[in-house]
Amino acid sequence: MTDQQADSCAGEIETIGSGSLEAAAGEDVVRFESLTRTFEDLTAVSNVDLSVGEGEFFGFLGPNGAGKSTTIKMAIGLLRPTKGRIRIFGMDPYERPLDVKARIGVVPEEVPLYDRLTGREALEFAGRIHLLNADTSRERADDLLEWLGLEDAASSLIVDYSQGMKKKLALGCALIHRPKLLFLDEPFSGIDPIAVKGIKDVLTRMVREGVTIFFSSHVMELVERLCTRVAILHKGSVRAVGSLDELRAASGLGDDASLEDVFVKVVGMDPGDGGAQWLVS
Amino acid sequence: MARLVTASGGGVPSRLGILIRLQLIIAWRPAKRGKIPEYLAIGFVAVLLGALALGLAAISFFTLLNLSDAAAGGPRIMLIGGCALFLAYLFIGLFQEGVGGGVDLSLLFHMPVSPGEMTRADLLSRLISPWALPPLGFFAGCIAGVMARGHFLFGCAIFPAAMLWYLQTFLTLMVGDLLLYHLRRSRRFVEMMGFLAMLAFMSWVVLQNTVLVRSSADGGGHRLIKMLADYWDGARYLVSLLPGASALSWTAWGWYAPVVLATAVGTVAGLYGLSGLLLRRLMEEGTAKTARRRGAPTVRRALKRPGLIERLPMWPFILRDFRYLSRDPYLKTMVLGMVMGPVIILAVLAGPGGRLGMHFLHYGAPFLLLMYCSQLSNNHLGLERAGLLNTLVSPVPRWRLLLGKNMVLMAFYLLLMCLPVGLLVWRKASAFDIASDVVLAVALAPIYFGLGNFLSILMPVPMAPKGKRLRAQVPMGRMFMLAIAQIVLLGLAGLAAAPLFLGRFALSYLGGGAWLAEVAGGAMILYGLLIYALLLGGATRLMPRREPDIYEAVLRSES
Repeated sequence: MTDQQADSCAGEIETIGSGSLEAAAGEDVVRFESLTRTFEDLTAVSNVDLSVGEGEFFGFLGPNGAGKSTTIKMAIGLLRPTKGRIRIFGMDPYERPLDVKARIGVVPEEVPLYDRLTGREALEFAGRIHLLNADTSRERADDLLEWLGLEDAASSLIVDYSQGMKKKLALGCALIHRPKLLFLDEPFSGIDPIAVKGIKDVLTRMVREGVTIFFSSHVMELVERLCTRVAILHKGSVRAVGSLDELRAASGLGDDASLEDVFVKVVGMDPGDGGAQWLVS
Repeated sequence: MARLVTASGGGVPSRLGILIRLQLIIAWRPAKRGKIPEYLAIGFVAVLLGALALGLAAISFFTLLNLSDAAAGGPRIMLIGGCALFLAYLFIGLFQEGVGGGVDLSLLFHMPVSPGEMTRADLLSRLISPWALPPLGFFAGCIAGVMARGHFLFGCAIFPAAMLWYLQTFLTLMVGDLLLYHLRRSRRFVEMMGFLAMLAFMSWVVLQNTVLVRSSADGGGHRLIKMLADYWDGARYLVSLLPGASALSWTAWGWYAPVVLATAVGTVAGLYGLSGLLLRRLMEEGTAKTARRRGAPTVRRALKRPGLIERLPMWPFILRDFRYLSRDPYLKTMVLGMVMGPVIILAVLAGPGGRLGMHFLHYGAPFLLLMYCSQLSNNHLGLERAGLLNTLVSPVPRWRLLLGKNMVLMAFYLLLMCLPVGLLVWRKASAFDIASDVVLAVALAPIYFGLGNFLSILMPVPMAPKGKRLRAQVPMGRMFMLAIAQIVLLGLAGLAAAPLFLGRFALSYLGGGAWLAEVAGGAMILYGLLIYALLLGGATRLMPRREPDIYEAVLRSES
């Protein structure tokens, strides 16, 4: 992707819909209050209080099974919370699901794509579903295919795409309507380093333009480099939230501590301690 | 650069068009382009459905034309045909992977599409799919037949009745699909539904085999039949209000027609609302992959010596496939359909029909059950879906793997055989005849499952939906090709099994107690095992060469 292309994509940061439906000035774009979700005898998410402001690149970290994906599903209106309150642009995603879904872009961990559409068709379909007209959908689909490096595979069926290509396409589908808020759940898994760099650049520029990104990943380096604020979730509860400096200070680690060190300290796990000694003996 | 078009102005007003386009693409586009057989199969499906429509049109037309009183009998003929089609569509649609379109709507849940829009799109795509042709033929034949008899008003009434029928049928299918999603997720519900279905049909069998037969024997048959007829006369008003029936039964006019018509329209509205409601609930339940229950902390088990059966080389595969079959919600739903089908057929045929039913129980039941088991045996690799990767990368000899799979299916098949055996015991068949049937089943199954291995290796179709999806997205062409291949396979299995049927006849002829009968029984089983060994050897050689294609077909088609 060239810089010009990146500029052109990042320069389109506008929300669809009228301004009155956006978050009021000073209001948080994402707000969770006592958010809880239980599955029978398991409490996946417990009393999560979080707020993410406009133009934040917010990192959402946690070990496997911490409740990250469950929290994101609740936020985007796909999993009703057992208790608590969610506000996206000041709206409840369960009372006004279409209004919320029209303003957000989502890249879930498992990409939701119809495998018998071509890449171009999938992008155009996503555009039309977000009520873009046919011409606009087509133009944006072409731009995104070029930007994501998928132009050669544009007419191939998604069934023939690699996992990385699918992830890129899902990102394109999430961006085609120029959302004001992006939920990204492991968006870079399976994507090649060159594409990751290009996507990172554009996401950073989008954030500068006022787009909010809610970013869940296990890649600490990425989160450390991209995110302005980070929350660490463990066993369904938020254990720490703040900028990296704030987290370092709170965990009692030095200025040179990496996010990984902070994460291990906060979560309280010792990766070296475990069974399966036969593997190394 | 693309211009901005906002949701509040300038955009298209509805998503219906694009949703229908999506549904049509998914229903008709083959999984891979350029696959001529698949296109041919799709063409054949269209021709077949067209022929079916013409056949139904001819049947309904000539039936109505030759009725002595078309005005009185016409609505009844239409009702019988309409209800039969309704039930057929419902059963095939819910248990045999879909009739007439329908895509996995759960992939749209994160997008701004309302449940109402999804329902309308799904409904419309079903209405314009070729699966709508056979009922169209039936209703067109009814209209032509009635018009030819000069009943123009009745003929005109069939138009809205047919439209109501379509709406009721397809909406019921949609609601069924959405309910089945819950069914697939809830083990207890599956068990409960299975139990209730079995109970209902067993009650029917009891009624047929004991009450009716006994009352006929003591001369009370007429009284009982009259009682049932009276009961039906009273109940038909209630039955005519049910979905699939209410759409058509109002055409009989009379004082009851407005009530039935209102009910028919209300049913459509109710089903439409219910579909939207269920979709909304599904949307908010986390469809793709919600957090799973954490089990109890792992407790290190004490090591124990493996038992004799655990030392069998194919044991790990038997265990895995058994767990797969008993735990996977999609497969369990499939198994439920596989159990219900034979139960219905056997219950009907084993009724007080005399010899025909008994002959079928003896000779036809093992074959019928194998036909139902074919859904599992002929595509066992495709049904593994993501788990297949572990199978393909494992370094074990392929005969162990295939044998393990076949043994699980064999156990399931023999379990199903308890049904005809139970009915034969009920009908007081001799122990020798029942034992002969079991010998036939035991000898027949290896041949069939051995041939099934070939089909599974040569034409795997990824059936089980990934994760918690609404339905598997198998192209119509692929499904049809699989069905044709299964029919061919059935024919081959029939040829290979011909000596077994001769052996079964010989057993009947020889009767119990003859040593020759024991030899014949043993020879039948040996023959079955010999053919199976040959087939297993062939499949074992074929599989490694086909593995890249199996991977391609099953694991690279995600939806």
